[in-house]
Amino acid sequence: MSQDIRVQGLSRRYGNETVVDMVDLDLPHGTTTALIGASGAGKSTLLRMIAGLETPDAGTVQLGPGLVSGDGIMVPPERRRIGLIFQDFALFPHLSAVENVRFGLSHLAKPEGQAIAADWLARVGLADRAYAFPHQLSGGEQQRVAIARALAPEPLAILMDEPFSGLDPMLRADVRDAAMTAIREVEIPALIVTHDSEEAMLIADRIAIMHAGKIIQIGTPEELYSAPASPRAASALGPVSSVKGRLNGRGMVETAFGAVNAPKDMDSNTFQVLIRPEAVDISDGNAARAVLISKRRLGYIFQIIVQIETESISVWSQKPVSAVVGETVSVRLDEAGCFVFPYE
Amino acid sequence: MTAQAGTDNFEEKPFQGVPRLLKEIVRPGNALIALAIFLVGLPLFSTVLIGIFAGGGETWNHIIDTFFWTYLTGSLVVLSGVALLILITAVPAAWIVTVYDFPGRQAFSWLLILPLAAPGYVLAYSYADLLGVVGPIQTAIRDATGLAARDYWFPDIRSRWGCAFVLAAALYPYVYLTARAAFTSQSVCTLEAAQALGAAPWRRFTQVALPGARPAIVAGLALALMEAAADYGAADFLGVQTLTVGVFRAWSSFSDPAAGARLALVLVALALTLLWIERRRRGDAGTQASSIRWRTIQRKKLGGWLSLLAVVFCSLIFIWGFAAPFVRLIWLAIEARSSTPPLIKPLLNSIFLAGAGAAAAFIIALIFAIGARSKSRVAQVAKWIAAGGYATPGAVLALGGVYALNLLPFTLTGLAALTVLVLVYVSRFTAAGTGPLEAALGRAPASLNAAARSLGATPIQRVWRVDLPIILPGAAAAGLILFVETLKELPATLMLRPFNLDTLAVRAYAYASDERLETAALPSLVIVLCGLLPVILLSWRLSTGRAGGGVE
Repeated sequence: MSQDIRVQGLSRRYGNETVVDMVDLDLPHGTTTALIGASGAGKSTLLRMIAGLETPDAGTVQLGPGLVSGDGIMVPPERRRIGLIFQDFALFPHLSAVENVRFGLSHLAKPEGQAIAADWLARVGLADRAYAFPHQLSGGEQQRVAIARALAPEPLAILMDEPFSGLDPMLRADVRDAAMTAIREVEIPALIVTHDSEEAMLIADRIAIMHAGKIIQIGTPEELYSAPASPRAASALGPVSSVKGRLNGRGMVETAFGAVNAPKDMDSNTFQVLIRPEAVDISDGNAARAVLISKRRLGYIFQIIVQIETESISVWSQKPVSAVVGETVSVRLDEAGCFVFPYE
Repeated sequence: MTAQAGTDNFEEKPFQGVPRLLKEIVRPGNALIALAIFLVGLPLFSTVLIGIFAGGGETWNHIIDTFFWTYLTGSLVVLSGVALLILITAVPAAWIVTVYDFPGRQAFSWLLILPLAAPGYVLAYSYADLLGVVGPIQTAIRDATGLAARDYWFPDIRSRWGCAFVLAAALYPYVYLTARAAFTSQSVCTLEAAQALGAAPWRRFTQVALPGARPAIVAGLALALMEAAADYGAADFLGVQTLTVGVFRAWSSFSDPAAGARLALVLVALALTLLWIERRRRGDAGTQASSIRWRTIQRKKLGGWLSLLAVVFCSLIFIWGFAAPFVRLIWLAIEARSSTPPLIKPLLNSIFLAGAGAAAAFIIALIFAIGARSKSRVAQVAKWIAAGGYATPGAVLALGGVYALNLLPFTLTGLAALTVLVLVYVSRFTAAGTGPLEAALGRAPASLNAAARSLGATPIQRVWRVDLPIILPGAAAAGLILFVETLKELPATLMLRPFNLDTLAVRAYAYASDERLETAALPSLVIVLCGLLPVILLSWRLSTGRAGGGVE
């Protein structure tokens, strides 16, 4: 009964601007895919085309065996059975929580719909707020109602557009856990648009990075974090410092902070080396010598900035560093967190 | 999520059911909006054109030679007086009610807007009786002192300043409301900052709160002055020659609407200037208020004689604007209960005319409000045309219609006059309906429509289950406002009503003009009671704290 979503060659233009450009994307059932990227990358437009809220200029959307968009077919959203969750919750202000949930169950007899709606409210932890109206609910509670409302009619897939961005950080984790638990249980394809890469890594089985209308890389959080395909993909999942590198005689890329292995089949001489902050060791060994520019405690880690000549990099260290600002320290690069790309 | 926001292509944009259905109708070249703009603009433009091209001649020369200077100075003195009186009452009252706590503050905060219910001419009738030579106050003075009427001085209500006194009483709530909203929304943080910097209360008011609220105050004052300039009933009754009275007389005394239209050009220029000021200032006020977070004001408790002073000040304003004239009307109506002719017929006429005017204005306002969501150029034009009609006195709008009807072979009786009158109502009041309607439509953001669709609701279900229940309360409020505004309208109704179609306003005017004030009291009272309905609605919204309509 669970079905996959398959997107092929999907495109959308507004005037001269191509907002979504020939996107292929599979959303298998039982997996959560996160779509991340900067504002204006086309994430929401892609989501809206899958939902049927926008008509693609080209390409197809397949839901299970059936075509829902493309080739002259355009199934309206009300017949797609795809659940939607919005950043602004979009609860109907004139209906109570339980009536909101029951909205999509109008084909059922009232007692039956009422029972299902009450059950869904209980599953998201709102059994006691069933008769409250949206303006009487907190943001977190409103989003829980929205989740129950989207899942109650047993949709074939669920799409979420920045669902947790409107919530304050304390509530956010709770609502997110409740939502993802409920969604995993029903084993449907789930797509979540977010600009928060940590959130994406936390909840998604797969992450797709979108830039300028294209998906530039897709994979598991681990793959994307440790093997980004481009500088943009590297910085999309977490902070990186960029330094210049040059091919040395031993076939390695030499930077001011140390040497790393050169990638295969790359015929460039100059490189851009991106370094994750946790991939730098501050030690006393005979490594590169750098000047300590600043150090700060950020909870359980220290954020340290070190500089060699004109280049500086950001370092996260779990160990305190005894040197004071202005002194020299040794730095050593950890190959696993350094990514080499041709210089642009 | 931002990609689709800034584009012109709204073909695929989600629209709510009702707007969407109407949008379908509208779409053929925005023809419907264009037609609505034409209808709303027609009275104003025809009056202006007639004034320019047909307004000359003997009557005009006569007016220029004999009356023009009197009309102009009359209008200017009345408007200045109104502005002055409003500023020294409404602004301090708004400030006191916003930042201080004293006995009765809660009640005053909404009691002070009640004068919005009464049109200026009703207040004029009541005050002319209250303060007249045979009125209760002067009689009491004579009884107490034994003096005769000629032996003492008493301010003359039938004068330019008397007219200003009456109109200011009716119109100060415009400034009170805008000033209060400005003080509430923008001054809390800045006031606390000023306090931390050591500024004394008086300095905080004059140097921080007042300059910050100035755009809102000026916008409210411009609105009040538009209404004051539009007044015919009060000025005419109090024997004050203003431009609006002159425009009306050109038709009633000289039977030369074209000359009236030429005189009206001055009024149109004045009204459009006020409108321009209001729009500009309101824009300023808007940008200031939106950047500041809303916070609950910690009201300072006034003690001792200061608190007494606040109560006395607010009470005086309330008595001046509402209590005294209202109570006097009730008194008069009771005294004259046996001699007042039955009011059923004029009441039904009023309901019929106001209903027709409100229904037509509602439809046009709805078209404009839906059109405004597309942010197209047509919608901008619509907004300005509606605002222009709203700013223009009813007597001026009616002139074009009177002129046109005179050219036709039939007289002012019948369907033609009625149609023209409804058209004038539409032109004058559409703008009063677009605001609430736009707010109502704004309550249903696009994501609600998308949510309803994703839950399987068909277009008809979306209209029925989502759009209508959400929009209806706001739409009902808009309808009520339009109905009451039309009911209160006097000069255009006088000029264009079909023969024998007396409304409450016309009856009150006719009795008052015959100096039968006690007979005019009952129809006046009914008008005020109708007027109270939307005012109570407004004050209820204010007291539930949704004054600004909730910035999203």
